[in-house]
Amino acid sequence: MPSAAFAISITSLVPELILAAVGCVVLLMTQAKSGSVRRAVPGITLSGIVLAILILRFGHLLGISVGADSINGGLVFDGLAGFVRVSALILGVLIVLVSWVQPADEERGEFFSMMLFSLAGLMLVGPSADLIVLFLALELVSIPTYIMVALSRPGPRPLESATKYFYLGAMAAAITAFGFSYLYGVTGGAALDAGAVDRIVDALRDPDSPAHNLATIGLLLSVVGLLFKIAAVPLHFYIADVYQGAASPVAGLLGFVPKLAGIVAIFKIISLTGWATTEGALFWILWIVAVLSMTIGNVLALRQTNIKRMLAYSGIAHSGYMLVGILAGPIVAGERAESIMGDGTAAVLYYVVIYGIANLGAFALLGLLRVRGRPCETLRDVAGLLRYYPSIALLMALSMFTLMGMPPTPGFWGKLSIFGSALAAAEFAPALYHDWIIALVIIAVLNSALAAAYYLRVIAAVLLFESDEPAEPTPREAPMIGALLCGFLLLVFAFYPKPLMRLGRDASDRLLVPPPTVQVESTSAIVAEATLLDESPPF
Amino acid sequence: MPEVSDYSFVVILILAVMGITAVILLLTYLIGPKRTGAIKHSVYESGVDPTGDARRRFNVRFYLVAVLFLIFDVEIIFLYPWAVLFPRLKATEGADQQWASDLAANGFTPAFFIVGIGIFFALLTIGFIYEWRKGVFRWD
Repeated sequence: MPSAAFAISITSLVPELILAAVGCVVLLMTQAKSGSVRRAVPGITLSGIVLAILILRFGHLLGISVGADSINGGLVFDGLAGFVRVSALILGVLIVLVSWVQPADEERGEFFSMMLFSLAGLMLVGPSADLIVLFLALELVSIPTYIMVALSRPGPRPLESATKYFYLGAMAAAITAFGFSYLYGVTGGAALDAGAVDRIVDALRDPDSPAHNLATIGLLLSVVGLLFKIAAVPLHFYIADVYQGAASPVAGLLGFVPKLAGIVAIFKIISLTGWATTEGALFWILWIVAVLSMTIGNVLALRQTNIKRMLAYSGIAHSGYMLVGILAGPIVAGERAESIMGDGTAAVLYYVVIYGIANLGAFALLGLLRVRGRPCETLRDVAGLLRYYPSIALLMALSMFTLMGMPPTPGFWGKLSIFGSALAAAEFAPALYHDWIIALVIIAVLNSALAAAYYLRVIAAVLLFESDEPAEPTPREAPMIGALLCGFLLLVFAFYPKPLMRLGRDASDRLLVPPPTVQVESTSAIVAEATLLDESPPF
Repeated sequence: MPEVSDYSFVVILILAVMGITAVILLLTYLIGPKRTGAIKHSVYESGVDPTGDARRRFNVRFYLVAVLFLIFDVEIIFLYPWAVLFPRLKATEGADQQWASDLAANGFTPAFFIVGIGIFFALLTIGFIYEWRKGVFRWD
C-alpha cells in the first residue's frame, strides 16, 4: 500500500492546514477595497479556529483520522500532541476574542494571519518527533510573534520591542540549532525515537567515551536556547520591554504560545536522556536556572508600578516554577508516577495552561480599560475599579489570585502538584541530590510567598483604593467576552481540575515511551540517501 | 608518518590557504615598486574615474527589492534539488529504481512530491499576490 502513509499524513494535519489556509485567506482579505470585508477578518479567524476544533474532535465521524498513532515524516500523534493541539486551539479562541479590535483596521489582516500561523506552529510542536521538524515548528511559532508585536499598536515603542525580541530570538534559535546539531552527531539521525534515546543514554552513561561530552554539550545548548521561549533567566532580558511595548492582548498571547512551545520542546529534548534529570550536568543547569528565574523574576516584579512590566517579570518567576516540575520529571523511583502529584511533567503542562489563561485574562482586562483614551498600564490606572465596574474588578482579582496561587484557584493546584512532584522525586533521588531538591522546593515556596506581595498590590488597588479618575472600558463586546471566558475557565478548573490533569497525564505517557524507530522515518534520511553521502555515521 | 584522519585534509587546506596568502603578500611587499602620489592613492573603481564616496544613502525602496529577491532566491534553492531529484523517482533500473521504490513503500510517492511542491508554490503565490496588492512593485 504505497500511498497509505501519505494519505494519513495529510489528513492528520487537517486542523493545522485549516489554520494555515485561513491565515492565507485573511492575509489577502486585508487588501480588499470594501471596509466590510476587512472588518470580517476577526470573525473569519475565529471561525477557522472553531472549525479546526470541530475537525479535531469530531473529524473521525467524517473519516478524517486526525489522531493516527504514528506516521512518517517526523510527526507522531499521541497524548502530548493531543494536549498541545487542544490547548492551543482553545486558548486560540480566547486570544482572538481578546485581540478582536487590537491593531488598526488596515493591518488587522496581517495581524490575524500571523496569529493563525503562530498557533499552527504551536500545534506542530506537539506531534513533532524529529529535530528538524521540531526546529521548524518552533520557528513557525516565534517568527509571527515578532511581527505581531510590531503590528499590535501604532508608534515607535512596539517597533523597538519587536526589534529587541527578533534579534534576541534569532540568537536563541541559533543556540538551539547548534545544540540540535550536536545531538544529531551523537544519535546519527534527526529522529527523536527509541534508538536516539538509547544512544544518548549510552553516551551519558560512559564518561570516557568521546560521545559523552558531545551529548552533554548538545543537551545543554538545546535546553539553554529553548529557555528564551519560556523567558527563563539567562535569556529573559527581552521580556519586560516586549510586554510593555506590545499591545496588551499580544502580551497575553506571548505568555502562552511561546511558553507552551518552549516547555514541550524542552520535554522532548530531556526525554532523550530517559529523564535523567535528578543527576549530572542537566540537574545543575535546571536547578540553577530555576532558582535564578524565580528569585530574579520576583525581585524585579516587586519594584514595578507598571502592571504590564510586573506581569512580564512574574512570567520569569513562573518559568522558574515550571522548571522545578521539569526537574522532577514523570518518573518516581524508576516507575511511572501514580498520580499527578508525582508526575512533574503532567503538573507542568497543567500549570502552563492555567498560567496562560490567567495571564491572558489579566492582559485582556488591561487592554480593555482606557484612562484618558490611553491604554491602562499602571497601578494608579486600575485603582478604584470595584465601585464603577465590579465585574472587571472581580475578574482582575481572580486572575491575580490564580497567578499568585491562592488555595481555591487552579493556580494553587498547579503549584501544589509541581512542588509535590519535586518532593516525590527527591524521595528517591541519590542522597546528595535529595537535599538539593528539597532546598529547591523550599526556595520555590518562599518565592511564591514573595510573589504574593506584588499580586496583592494590584488586588488592593482594584478592590480597596479609591480613584477620582477611574479607567473606562472600551464599549466593545468581543474583548469583554474573551475576558469573561478566561475567568469562567479559571473557575471551572478551580473546582473541576480533573479533566485537564488527566489530559496532562495522558500527555506525559509519551515522554516515557519514545516512538519506535522506523526504517525511513524522517526527511533527513531521504536527503542523506538522495545525495549519496558517505554511508559511515557522522560520529 | 603520523596517522591521517578524515579531518586532517581540512587542517591542511586551512594551512595551505594561510601559507599561500602570506607568501603572496610578502612577495608583493618585497618585489613590488614603491611609488606614491595623488593618483596612486585615489580609489580604484575598475579603471573608471571615481565619482564620489561609496558610503552614501540609498533609497529605502531598495530594501523591498532586496526582500523580494530573498524570497525568490529561497524559492530557487528549494526548487533546484527538487528538480534534480524528481526525474530519478521515475527510474526503471539500477540503484535509482531501488531508491524510488523504497521511498514509495514509505508513502513518499511521486504524487507526494508533486503535491508538496504544489503547496509550496501556492504559498509563494499567495505571498506574491499579497505583495502586489500591497503596492510593493510600484516604484513611485
